[in-house]
Amino acid sequence: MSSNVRILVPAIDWTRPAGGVRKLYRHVDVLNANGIEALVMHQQPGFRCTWFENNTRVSSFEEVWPPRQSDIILVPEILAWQFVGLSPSTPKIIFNQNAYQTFAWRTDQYNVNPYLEPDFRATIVVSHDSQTYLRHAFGHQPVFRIRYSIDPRVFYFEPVKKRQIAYMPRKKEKDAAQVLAILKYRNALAGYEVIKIEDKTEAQTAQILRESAIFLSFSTQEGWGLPPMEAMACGCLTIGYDGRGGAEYMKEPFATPIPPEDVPRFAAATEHAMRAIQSHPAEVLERTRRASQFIHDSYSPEIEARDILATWKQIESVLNTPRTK
Amino acid sequence: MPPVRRIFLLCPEWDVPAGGVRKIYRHADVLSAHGFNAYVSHHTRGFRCKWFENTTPIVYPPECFPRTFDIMCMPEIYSWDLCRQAPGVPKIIFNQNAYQTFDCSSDEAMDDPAPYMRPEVLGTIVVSEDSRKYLQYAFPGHLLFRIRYSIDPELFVYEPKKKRQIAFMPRKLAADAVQVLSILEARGVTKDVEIVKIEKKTEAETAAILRESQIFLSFAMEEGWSLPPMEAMACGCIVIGYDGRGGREYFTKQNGFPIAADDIVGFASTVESVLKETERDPLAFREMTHRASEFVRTEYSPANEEADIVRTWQQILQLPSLPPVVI
Repeated sequence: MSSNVRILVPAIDWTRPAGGVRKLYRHVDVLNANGIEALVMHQQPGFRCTWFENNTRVSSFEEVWPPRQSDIILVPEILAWQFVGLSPSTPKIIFNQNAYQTFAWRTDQYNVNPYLEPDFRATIVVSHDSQTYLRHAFGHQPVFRIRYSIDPRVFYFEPVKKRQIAYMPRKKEKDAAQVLAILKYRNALAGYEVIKIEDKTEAQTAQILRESAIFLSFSTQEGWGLPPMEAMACGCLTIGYDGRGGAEYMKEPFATPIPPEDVPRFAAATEHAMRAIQSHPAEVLERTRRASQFIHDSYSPEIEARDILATWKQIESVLNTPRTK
Repeated sequence: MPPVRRIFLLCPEWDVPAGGVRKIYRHADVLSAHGFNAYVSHHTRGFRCKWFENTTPIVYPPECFPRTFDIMCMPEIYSWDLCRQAPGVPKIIFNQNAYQTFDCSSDEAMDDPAPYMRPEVLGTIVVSEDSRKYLQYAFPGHLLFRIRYSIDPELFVYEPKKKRQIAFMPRKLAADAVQVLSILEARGVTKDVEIVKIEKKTEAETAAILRESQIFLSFAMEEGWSLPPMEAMACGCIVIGYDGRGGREYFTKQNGFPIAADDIVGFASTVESVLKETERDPLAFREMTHRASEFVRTEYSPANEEADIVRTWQQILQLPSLPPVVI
């Protein structure tokens, strides 16, 4: 990447925890740490996400716009529709962290498909599933895949567990209610505490996961699905929906994936896990330790950084090739 | 005249199209036609659903107040509240969607035990094997009866002449419909195809659209049964999409193109293949759609539905736990 290139990464000013925004910050950090100038471009001057520790380079649309001639915009998939027609001479790369959200922010006002516009040159995705989705939908465009990582200093293996089941209710809340109600009425939750992880900082989330024996995943249509990966890293027996994007890692023998909507099987698998914790604690410990190791080995910050840098190298050659609509 | 045991089918007062309400009325009609003293029970005097034709027997307060030998039949979502009413009166749950079993439950102590665990609740009627399995697992030992739904054979008839038209209902998983249709649009495969969203239509209007549509896309999710894909099959549509789990008894690979939940790419690429195949040969899949129509119209006929309902209530009325009819 030539030295005067600057990568602008627009981001919504969300104060609530959102893994996608966290990953935009991470992307910018990796680029800056490796000599490629990048900054998060928030909507309001002075805004910065504070629910996780960071000293990421942050600015605002007002301070940065219009872009310089040598700038590149790395636009999240949900904002891509609004960037059609903006500064057409500036090359744009879509950071599509969830292929299932590709059309979610299309409106009557913003209805021109960015993936078919000549200034949108490539897309970065975070799973094979998303890559398949976008290659099918828009066959002609380069789609690069990077691997996410988790912070091993925060999400680390903890062998000593409470009889505690953690879950995040953000998606498929109704399925969570069904699974937990079935378990309750089958009297299977006796001795267990159920913790809903909601509006927590990254550090608080990690602490709950480290002390929880079981994590229930209610993911659906995810680009990747970070929470089950974080839970596996912390040594939780992880059961539930892989959200498709997470199928790469949320698999046997490391986890217990459940087909979407199969509520009774989900509840039965949870019961089975509780019985295993009771009857075969050493086997469970070994299984969770191996799952954690698998996550840390496969999705380390080093691998993520390597993927990001390799991707931008490929993007550079894409940008050096003329493209027409 | 000696006292008779009455069956009160408690029903929500929604005067907007809702398949579940329609089926409660149908249940009362069937029982009534077979000599049972069955009534839809509404709370508001004079209320009757008007969005479909009916002469269903209805009772209002005070006639609908049950005696201890009458039977209250409650919809699954309201059973959490209704099971605490009219103590001593035997109760049956009409669970038309197991995935809604806990919709109106709470963590409050009043919801313990669950309706399905209370001795007054003698059993539950379900409408699919999937719902039966769900409730069997959730409440082991609870008595379950299964009935088949039917479709109106006069309305949902096989029509071989089709327009190049895709119909779908956006009620559930509208975001999935947007994705599938947007992908097809981006790939340029729906240029010459009419896309019809079925929404706020009467049963007759829905049937007319289905009869002329070549393809029906199902965006069902966590259904007790899932009527629309069955209606579409009866009309001769090539049915592609989600079976909503409750519909997997009839929405098989032999009868259509079931797609795994959340598999947007699989969904879109199947629609594309079917469009290409039918463009090449308009009669492609004719055998499949004809067989599927025959199957659903035969297996899910009004006669079978009636027989199931009558048999179920004959069994319920023979339960030894039912209190005797006394003055």
